[in-house]
Amino acid sequence: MPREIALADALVPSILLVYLGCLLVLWVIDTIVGHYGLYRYVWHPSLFRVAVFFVLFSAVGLLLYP
Amino acid sequence: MKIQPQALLRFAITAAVVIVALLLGHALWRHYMYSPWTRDGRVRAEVVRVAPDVSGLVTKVPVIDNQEVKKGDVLFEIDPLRFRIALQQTEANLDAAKASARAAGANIDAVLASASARKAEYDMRQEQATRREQLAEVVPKEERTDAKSAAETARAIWQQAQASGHQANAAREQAEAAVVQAQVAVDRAKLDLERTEVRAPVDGYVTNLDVRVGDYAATGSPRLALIDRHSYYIYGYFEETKLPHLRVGDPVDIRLMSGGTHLKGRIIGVARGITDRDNPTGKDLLADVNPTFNWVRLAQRVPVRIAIDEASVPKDVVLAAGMTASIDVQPRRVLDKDEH
Amino acid sequence: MAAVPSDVSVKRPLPWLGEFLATERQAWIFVFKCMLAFYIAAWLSMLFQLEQPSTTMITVSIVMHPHSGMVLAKSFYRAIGTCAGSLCGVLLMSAFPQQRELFLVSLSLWVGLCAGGAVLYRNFMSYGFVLAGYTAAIVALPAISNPYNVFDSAMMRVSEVMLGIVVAGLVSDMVLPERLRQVLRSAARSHYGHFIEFARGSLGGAIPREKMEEAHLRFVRAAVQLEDLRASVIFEDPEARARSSRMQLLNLRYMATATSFQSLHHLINRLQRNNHPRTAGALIKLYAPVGEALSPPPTESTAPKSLAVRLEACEATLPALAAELREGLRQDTELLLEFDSGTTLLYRFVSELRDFAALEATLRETQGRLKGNVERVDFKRANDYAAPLIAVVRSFLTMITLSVFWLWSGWPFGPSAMLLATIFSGLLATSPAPLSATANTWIGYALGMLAAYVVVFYLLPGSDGFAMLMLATMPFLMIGPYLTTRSATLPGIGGGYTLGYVYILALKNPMVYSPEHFFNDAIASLFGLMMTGMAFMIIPTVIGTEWLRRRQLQQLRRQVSLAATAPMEGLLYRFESANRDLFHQIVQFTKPNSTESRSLLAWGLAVHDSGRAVIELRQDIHHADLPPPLCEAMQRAVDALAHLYDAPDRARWEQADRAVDHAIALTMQTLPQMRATCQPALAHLLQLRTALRDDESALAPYIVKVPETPHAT
Repeated sequence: MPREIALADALVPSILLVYLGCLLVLWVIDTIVGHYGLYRYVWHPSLFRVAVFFVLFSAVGLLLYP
Repeated sequence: MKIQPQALLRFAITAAVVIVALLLGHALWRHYMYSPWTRDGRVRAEVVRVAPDVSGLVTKVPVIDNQEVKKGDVLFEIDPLRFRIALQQTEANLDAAKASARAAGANIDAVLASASARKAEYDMRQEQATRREQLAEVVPKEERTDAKSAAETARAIWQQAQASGHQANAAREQAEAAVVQAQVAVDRAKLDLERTEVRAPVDGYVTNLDVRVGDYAATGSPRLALIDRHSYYIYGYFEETKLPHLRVGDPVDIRLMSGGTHLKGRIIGVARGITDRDNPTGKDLLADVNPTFNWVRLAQRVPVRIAIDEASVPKDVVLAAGMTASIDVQPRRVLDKDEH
Repeated sequence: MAAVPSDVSVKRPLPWLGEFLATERQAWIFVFKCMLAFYIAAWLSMLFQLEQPSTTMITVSIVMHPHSGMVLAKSFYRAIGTCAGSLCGVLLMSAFPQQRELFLVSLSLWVGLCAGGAVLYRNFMSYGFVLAGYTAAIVALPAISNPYNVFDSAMMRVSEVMLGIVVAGLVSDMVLPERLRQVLRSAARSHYGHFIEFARGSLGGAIPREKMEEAHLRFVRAAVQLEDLRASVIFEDPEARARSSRMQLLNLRYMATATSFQSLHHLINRLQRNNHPRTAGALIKLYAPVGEALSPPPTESTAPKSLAVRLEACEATLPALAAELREGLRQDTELLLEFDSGTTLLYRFVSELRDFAALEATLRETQGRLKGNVERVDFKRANDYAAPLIAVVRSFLTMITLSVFWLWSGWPFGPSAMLLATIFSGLLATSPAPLSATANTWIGYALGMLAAYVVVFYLLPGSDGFAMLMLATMPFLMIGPYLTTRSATLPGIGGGYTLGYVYILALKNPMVYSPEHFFNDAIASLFGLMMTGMAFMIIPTVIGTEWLRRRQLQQLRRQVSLAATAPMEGLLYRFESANRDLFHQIVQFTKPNSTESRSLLAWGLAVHDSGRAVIELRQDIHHADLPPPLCEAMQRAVDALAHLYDAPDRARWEQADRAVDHAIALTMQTLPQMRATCQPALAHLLQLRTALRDDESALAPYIVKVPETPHAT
């Protein structure tokens, strides 16, 4: 995967797109977990959410840029 | 305290995810901050600033801006008339010099002849004087003395003629030197005439063509830039934290900002010095140190020179000095392992 | 959350100390979070080599709020506002590159519009508008004198503002969060409890009007507060998001039940006053079982679920009791009619109350998403465009004045003044007392600058590295957020202090010490703030003024026209919610128990009562197959009522009264043939008539006392 992607003639770091994509995925996960009320099994929901985001983001980032 | 196990589970789930997140985040941070790549790369090239060797009016500009030229192609021409005239004049001078050389040669002959005559006369006088001396009883003393002095005089005259011969010789040498001089002047005029046609010193591209027919081009003032087409290279500005991960010879993937073209390259050198921006030289050669320091220290960028593999440049890609490129150094992991 | 401090206070020997510690604890937690956000933001912006870390810190200081839900909600709209603002700034720069005059006019217009938007959307959305104006100004103003790098400067400012938003959001969401969800849950429970309590307490039937008004006020506040909380909570909690539509439905049922309850009691009150004590007594008797159902014996649980079951059981017994009571009133058809109308109302109330309790029960007992689809309902806001318009004009004029002053005087620090004016004209436009708020902010700002002066010129020069930076700036910075938590006693000072301190500190990496710049900036920003205050003096805010209240009252009355004319789809919720929102706005700034507030309350109740009856009547018209002439008469009555509420006067009242009377007469004629369909319609018509002729209601001055006599017999 290239380090940079041209968006409407502006070259943006592709990690930014990964970031946005992960936010989207997080939102989906968040909604699903919320639907089933699974945050009961979590001690600190927002910390958990941020941690999940970083897991996603770092994993994707490390996989895409070996 | 009944819900202890469940609370523990909740805490454990959260803590596990947080720890994983911290580890992964740290890894990504390291990877992103220290892996040797940069967005800050510039295409550069060697540029010849073409200046005329002779001054004069520009009469012809056969190239246009941005044209590709071969080595030796005429870039522009300076009015040759003046130089032709100069050539003719020097040639005439040469002829004159040659003529005077010849004249000097003739002069020598004349002088030599005259000297021979003088010598003959001297010989005659000497013989006369000797004869009279032998006939001392017969010839009166006065006559003898006269003959002797006449011989002396003839000898002096002969010697004078001999000296004139030397003089004429020198004059001829001088004339010959003048001929060589005139010849050099001719050569120089020829060169000047030749140099009225300014030619491309390398294969490349005409850029910033700043000369028009009718301009007066002065010797030594550049009138156009010629970019050497074989000299393209890239300067990548890498943060100092990334330098340990790259070394001379590493293969590099270059991605041009224009069209995302990928090129291959290889590191050929790392700059061994950049200016200390906090310490410009002040007055009297003393350091002008910035009194404040960064709250957060930032990595400086060090230029790394990268040669472009010319075979990897696609035909339709236009490379221009100053273009932006992203540079991704492919670390030679396998090699590294072998080395260690 | 709230339970922890109270527990503490119970154990302590000194209760006041416990209370003191509890509030201090909250305050210091907030201060701690602010500091964390400030320094993380500053550090990151320095690490990312952003040009002005101070912009990030200013953003953090505007965003931080003691409740986490509010921060997330605000951040969301702020991010949108920032994007819109920066886009506008860049567009303005490109549209008028060398035209200062045109540029400043359009920038002022944009800032004005944003201030108007901030006033129009009174909740956390208003922050988005403030930000849109602020970002446009912060992007465009510095670029005027340096047009070559507008785009770079715009990108820098946007990154800085965004970083501030993200950091503030994360910190307040993650570090010792204050869960708005808990607040919402406890608020919803307490409102539910209050309502049930009130319904139970009115067992005796008659409720004095004052108490009724008070209750109405409370119900209105509760409904608006619940909606506000719900709209914030969905940002912080996905579970709440999944249940959001249920909660809206709950609020609708709450409002509908409250309205029916009030209508019923109005009817009983009127009957008692108009010498129909027997009918009133019968209705009170009929109401008794409901009261009993609401007060279960101590052995049984008081959970909403069991209440719903009890109410359902009670509902089944009501018709029999009604028939029995009806027997006793048989001799007087007029009384019988009133009684029937009351019965219908009572049935409606009981069934709504049951639904309300049942929904509350499901919400309490289930986790996560609820099964099944619910009807989508939206809380409608009622907006008045006068106040926003005035805010637009005021901000526009402020900005124009400042720009003209700047251009004419060639003052190099004009942009600073304009920037401050932009921030505060947006932030303070929603305040009901902007003058004192501006004065307080001014004082806070000046104090903050003083503190910043000490820090910048005495403490910072000796410090080196980020840790020293924190040590040097923190003691004075902490004062700001601490004062913010005391905003009840010192409104505005905390915010002004923090902003002034951070703005004038102008942290940079590396630091630039420039006393000249410092003083110029200080003077400019105080001047800009003063100009904002002057603008508020010259064009006073209409929020909380009588004029606006009159306008809003007019709008409130128009709600009846809305009920009479708008399409039926979702009308009930629209009416109920807009009505309450509007009423809430009107009542917010009146003194309790003043004559004004009482007249407002009277109008509120009248509109509520009639509007709801009109909606029910229209439903009857649409659904029951009534004969066309009857429908026409009813429609005429509805129109006449709308007409009356539009601009009440005697002639219109008479007209409305006649139309309603006529409809009642026609309905009574057809009643024997089609009892099932006509009965509810008749009940609603009667309810309208009693509301019309109620001499205690707001319509009293317009009542023409003629047709009262025939019914008194």
